[in-house]
Amino acid sequence: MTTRHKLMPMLGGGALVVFFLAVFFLVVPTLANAGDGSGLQYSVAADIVGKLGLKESPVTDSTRDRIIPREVELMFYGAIDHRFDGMVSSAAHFEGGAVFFELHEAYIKTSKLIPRSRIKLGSYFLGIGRLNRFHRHDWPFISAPKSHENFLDAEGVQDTGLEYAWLLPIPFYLEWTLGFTSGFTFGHTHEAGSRPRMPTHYTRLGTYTDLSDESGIELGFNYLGRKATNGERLRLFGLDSTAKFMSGKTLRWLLQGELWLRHLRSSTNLLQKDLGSYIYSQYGFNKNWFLGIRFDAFNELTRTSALTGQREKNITYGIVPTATYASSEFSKFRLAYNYYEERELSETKFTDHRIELQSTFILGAHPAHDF
Amino acid sequence: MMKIMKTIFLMLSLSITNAAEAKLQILTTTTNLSWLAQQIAGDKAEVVPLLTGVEDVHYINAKPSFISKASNADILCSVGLGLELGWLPKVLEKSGNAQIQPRGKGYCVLGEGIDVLDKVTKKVDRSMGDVHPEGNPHFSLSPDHLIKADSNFVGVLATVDPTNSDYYLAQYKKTKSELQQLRDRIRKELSAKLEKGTKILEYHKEFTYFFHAYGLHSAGSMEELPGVPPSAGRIAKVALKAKATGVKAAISAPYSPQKIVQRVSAIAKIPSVVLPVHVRANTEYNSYPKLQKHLAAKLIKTIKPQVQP
Repeated sequence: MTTRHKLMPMLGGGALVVFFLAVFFLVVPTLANAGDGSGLQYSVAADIVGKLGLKESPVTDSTRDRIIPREVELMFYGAIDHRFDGMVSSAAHFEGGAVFFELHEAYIKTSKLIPRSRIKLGSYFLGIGRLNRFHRHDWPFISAPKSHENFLDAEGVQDTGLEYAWLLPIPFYLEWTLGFTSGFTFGHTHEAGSRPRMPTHYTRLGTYTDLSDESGIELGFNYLGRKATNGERLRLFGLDSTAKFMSGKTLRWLLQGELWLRHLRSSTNLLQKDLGSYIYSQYGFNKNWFLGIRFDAFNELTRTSALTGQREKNITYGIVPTATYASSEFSKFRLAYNYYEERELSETKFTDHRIELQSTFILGAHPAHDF
Repeated sequence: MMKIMKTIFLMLSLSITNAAEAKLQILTTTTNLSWLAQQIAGDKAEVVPLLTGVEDVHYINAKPSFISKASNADILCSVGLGLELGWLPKVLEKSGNAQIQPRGKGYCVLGEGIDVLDKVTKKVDRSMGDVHPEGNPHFSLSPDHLIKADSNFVGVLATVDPTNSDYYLAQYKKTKSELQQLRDRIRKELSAKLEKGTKILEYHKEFTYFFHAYGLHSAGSMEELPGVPPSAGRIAKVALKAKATGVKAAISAPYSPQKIVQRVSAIAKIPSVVLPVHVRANTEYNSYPKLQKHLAAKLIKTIKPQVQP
């Protein structure tokens, strides 16, 4: 469960930034300079996004045609004692014209209790898929692919529970992750939710192989399940893959993709099946400039016509070229063109064209990155 | 069911037997450190570097293959001084191996306690680039500094495997003596062929300790700031200064931007050369002594092409 508070909705995004920076610069140095030797580290990550629609769109999006601080995250982390580490992050989101302040993550973790194991307890982003395991300001593109947005929400699925990861004692990398969370809610919501009939449970089997001295590919096989209070049962099956090809200081190629299949069985036993995926390919000219393109696809496999009861062919696809300038690992600027088209019965239902801009920056420390 | 139980029991017994007979598993981040670790641990350990010698140690991904190796390690040695800060903490944490994590008995940072160069005394912030406040971490090209780092490693080795501590101490003394002899030989050769204090320009300050060890002089780096490529103005400024102050060569690591180095070299009218920073298997510098000799020979050949190294 996450704790969320509407924060000064009458104030705009500028006030949000000022608020966070005030907290950061006034409160945090006091803690850090206390000289208590606790090793507390802290940072602020800001994600400023501008969206410009190039034509009328039926998609409701309060962030369209404006520049907003989409998210400002304040993060504290460090060792709790000789066995445990901790992380607490709070974030302010701009949603529907208002700013919401919420607890993003708060967990205690250890990798020192059981050999080859990591345990995490608290509120966190679930360790499944690719994008869901990373904070949005660390993604290689601006907005979530359609499949991620529909299955795991625009930012990702976060909940409170326990996650255990075990590195199998074999000669190559194979990590098995298993987690259980309360499941009162699923995805981004400001509601308290209600007790599910079956809590959210998930697993990921991740493996990796080196392709050369400076390149490698990671594969993940995922499953997530939950049965809501009303009896609706969700099952997600996913495959994620990330390949990186470094050349000295430069990430020369990044290839990343996810494929998800969702089974949603209603309380009346109607089964809805959806399939969605994206693939992103990015070329690095040097350590500062990158150009990538993402292809998204989403298909309601069981969509039927209300009139005939026949299955209706449909697909929503997107093409998102993205240019990135990384001044350093702590500040990035992106420009992307988003083209989306929804097709039904071989005809275009609607198209959406928009340009997106993004600036992300990090003040203070930042934990080391995953692969 | 009984068959399965027997198989599991057999596998467990075998793994216990193997563990009793197994050599120490030592991981190092760089190949220079792995050479050093192998010299001291001798036949008591199997030493594996995470990197191959071709990479820029600043810019490494926390590859899951590193995590897999780290999960089995008894000791993990790093350079420290912030060099592996962007990726190694993630490898250590995800390994689930408490012994090699900070304050574990197999956690080994060789840069701790050495006499670092380029230590920053003023307040550091990110506007200064990828500066290492603790000092220049590229000490492994200096035999003198490597000898000092050795002593950190022997301490960790003796803690993890106290039964062989006398052996490790003897190996340390032997390695120390060999490194001193190597340093003296190369110093003699370089001083015979290059003037003392010969000024050499670096792309990044990766060779400063090597110069320090052999009486040469680093004329600074070409970078705008540590980790930041130079602007056109900086290139011109650095090159003209190099020309005016009698700099003899411009050197860079294989992963440095060669166009920039060549531009500086052309403006300053000085030769440039690409030099390895780390030991690399299947090359002519596949051991630390060979790397040192290779660097010295290449420098002599670049600065005094008429002299036979």
